[in-house]
Amino acid sequence: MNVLEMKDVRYRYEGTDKDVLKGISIEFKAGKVYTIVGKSGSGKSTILSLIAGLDTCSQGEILHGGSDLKKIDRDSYRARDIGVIFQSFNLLTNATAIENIVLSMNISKNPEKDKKAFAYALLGKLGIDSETAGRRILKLSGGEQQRVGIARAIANNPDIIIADEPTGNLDSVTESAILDIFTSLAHVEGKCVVIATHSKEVTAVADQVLGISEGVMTSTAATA
Amino acid sequence: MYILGNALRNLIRNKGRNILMAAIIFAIIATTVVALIINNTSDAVIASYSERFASEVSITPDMQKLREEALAAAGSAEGRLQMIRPEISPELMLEFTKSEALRESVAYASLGANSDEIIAIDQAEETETQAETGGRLPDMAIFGSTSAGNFKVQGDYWQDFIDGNRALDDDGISAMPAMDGECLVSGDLAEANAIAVGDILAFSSVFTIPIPGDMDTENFADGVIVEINETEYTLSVRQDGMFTASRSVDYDLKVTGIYIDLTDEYSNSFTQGNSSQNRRNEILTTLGTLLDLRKADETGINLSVTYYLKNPDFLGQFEAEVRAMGLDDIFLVSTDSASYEKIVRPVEGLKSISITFMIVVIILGASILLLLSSISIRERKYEIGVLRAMGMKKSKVALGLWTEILVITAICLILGIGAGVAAAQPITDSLLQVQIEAEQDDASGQAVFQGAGSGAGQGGGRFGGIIRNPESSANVQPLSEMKVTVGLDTILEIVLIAFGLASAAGLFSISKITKYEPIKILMERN
Ligand SMILES: Nc1ncnc2c1ncn2[C@@H]1O[C@H](COP(=O)(O)OP(=O)(O)OP(=O)(O)O)[C@@H](O)[C@H]1O
Ligand SMILES: [Mg+2]
Repeated sequence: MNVLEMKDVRYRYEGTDKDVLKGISIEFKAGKVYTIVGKSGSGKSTILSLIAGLDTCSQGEILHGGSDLKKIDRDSYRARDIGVIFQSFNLLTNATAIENIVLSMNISKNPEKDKKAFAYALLGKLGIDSETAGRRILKLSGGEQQRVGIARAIANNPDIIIADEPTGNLDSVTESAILDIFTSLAHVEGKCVVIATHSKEVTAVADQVLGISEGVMTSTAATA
Repeated sequence: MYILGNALRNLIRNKGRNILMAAIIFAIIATTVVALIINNTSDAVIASYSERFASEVSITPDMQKLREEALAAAGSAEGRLQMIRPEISPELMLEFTKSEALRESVAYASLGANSDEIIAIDQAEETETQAETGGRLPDMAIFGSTSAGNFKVQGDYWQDFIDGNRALDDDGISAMPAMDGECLVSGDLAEANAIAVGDILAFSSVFTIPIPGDMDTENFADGVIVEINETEYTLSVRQDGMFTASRSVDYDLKVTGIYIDLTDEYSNSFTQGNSSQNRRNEILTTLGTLLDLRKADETGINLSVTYYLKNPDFLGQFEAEVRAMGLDDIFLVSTDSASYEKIVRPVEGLKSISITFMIVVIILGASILLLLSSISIRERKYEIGVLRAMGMKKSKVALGLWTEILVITAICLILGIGAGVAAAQPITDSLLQVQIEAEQDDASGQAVFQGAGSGAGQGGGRFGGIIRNPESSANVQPLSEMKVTVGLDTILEIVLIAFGLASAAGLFSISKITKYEPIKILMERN
């Protein structure tokens, strides 16, 4: 059963005359880790943005549980069905780490009663202590911000987790800790995890590596 | 609910931007409050003066026209300048009260009278004698402007009761006249003549009638009885050799009560000792009682009717109606707009300044607000993209931004209304002063014209005799003080303006930003 399926997806940014994606077709299954690899500018972030429902593709379709993202309420899809860790984090920089997570839980109508306590606990698991969690995002390091982004992405227990260069700002110890989290999300909790990356360490843990070059799929090698 | 919490947190998070925004909203609100207060107070003042001055009608002879007609007559015939005083008959004056244009009219009348039964206070021996000889009138009384007799019978003259200068005696039996033929007498008069409630007093009054021009005057002599309008009149010779036709009427009035008079016996020192002018000698009865005594065309009753228009705009309608009822062209129908203008013009100036000022402030403020909020929105574009990426609906994003601006506005409203209210009185005082000075500079150029105008007004009053003398505009001072009041309507207006403005400025930018898909916002930044 495909959690997510891209069918001949083409995409062009508004105001440009060149297709960034030129017919991408990929099937994503639950319980697996996917990595998308390719040169800078090849279209990795664009694929993730479309999967995340931040925009609709110009041609083709992206199906979630069989229904076209173009036809569903993408606001609630983003709030509940998918968790996104952006390349540049996209956190509310003036708000604290805790506030970012609680707000995201509020938006997705998360039934958790004590959202604050839940957020503290989640951040703690990711190595952010409560003092750091109460600081504004602006006053956090890149790595700390990245982990807040991860916490926010998984706080609402979505089926799909996508991450754009999630380990770019991390030391190798933290990187492997984070990768453990991703693999266990997929292999233990049965989530579909999609990671865009340049990192060899990341591709090493993937169940499937998708190569992309200039908007076209080059390989769909499944690793052992 | 979390939207409100998030909005409040956002306000604190972005202090610098919000304080700037608040300062501008505060300035707009404070100045608008001042302008609104001045405007609304001016409206109230203008309305109250237009009620008091511009709705009270004066019917006065057109002096210029009268003079022209007299000159024309003099040129063509006798060569002697003769101005005939135009009068409006009491019947017609009362007819005018039926006009649809009127809110109300107040009519009262007086009639000189004598009595053989009771003696007036300060009554002189010789006047009693004069009364016995048939009540011959002094010449000047012909026009009915002076009462002839020791008593003055007042018909429906209750103004002193309204003003609190007279009151019914609280003896338990005194009652106001309920029908024609009943009267009140003063406590002093009752005491001097042992008058009790229930007594019937006999009076006599004299009516005169103009001798018709076509009457044969050959047999005229002092004491000859002539018949005019099927009524008998006795002729008497005046000092100038002309004849006067008059008749004496006897009538009874039943005393229903005693009134207590708080004013002086005489209204001025020149009439001191003249019983006819002593206020204690006034017998108060109904207007109908007096009108019943009078026959058509007779003079003797001094009738006064004051007409109040529904509002000043009804003047034209009133004039049309009274002309149709038979008011002669020689009379001018006007309101005392000169006094009204003089009093109210500085206030109107103040009002228009405050309105202009308010419009300028609102337009300027709205532009700044719009600019500022569109700048701040651009700053917040990223924030909005993040919220949208997290799955927040456009409407909720907009609601959050709107809540923020409304909260700022609400705080500014409290501070701005306070500041505006505090500043309104001193600002009004100084602006009004400036207006009055400007008005006086303006008026000095018109002094000659105004003087002439008021002279005619006074003359008209005297000539008309029966019409209330319009207050001369020269004596009226422009309103120099205006106590500002803050009504609920003012507060409501400012609240509406403030929230309307804030919402307009906010929603304009919000609508611009929420129309983008979040990818646009987020990827642009990347
Ligand atoms: N908002 C935008 N408007 C127009 N073109 C864009 C926009 N964002 C990205 N692009 C273009 O789309 C192409 C793909 O960009 P994308 O960000 O998907 O690349 P990427 O593979 O994620 O690169 P990187 O490894 O550097 O993150 C690039 O050529 C880029 O210039
Ligand atoms: Mg990228």
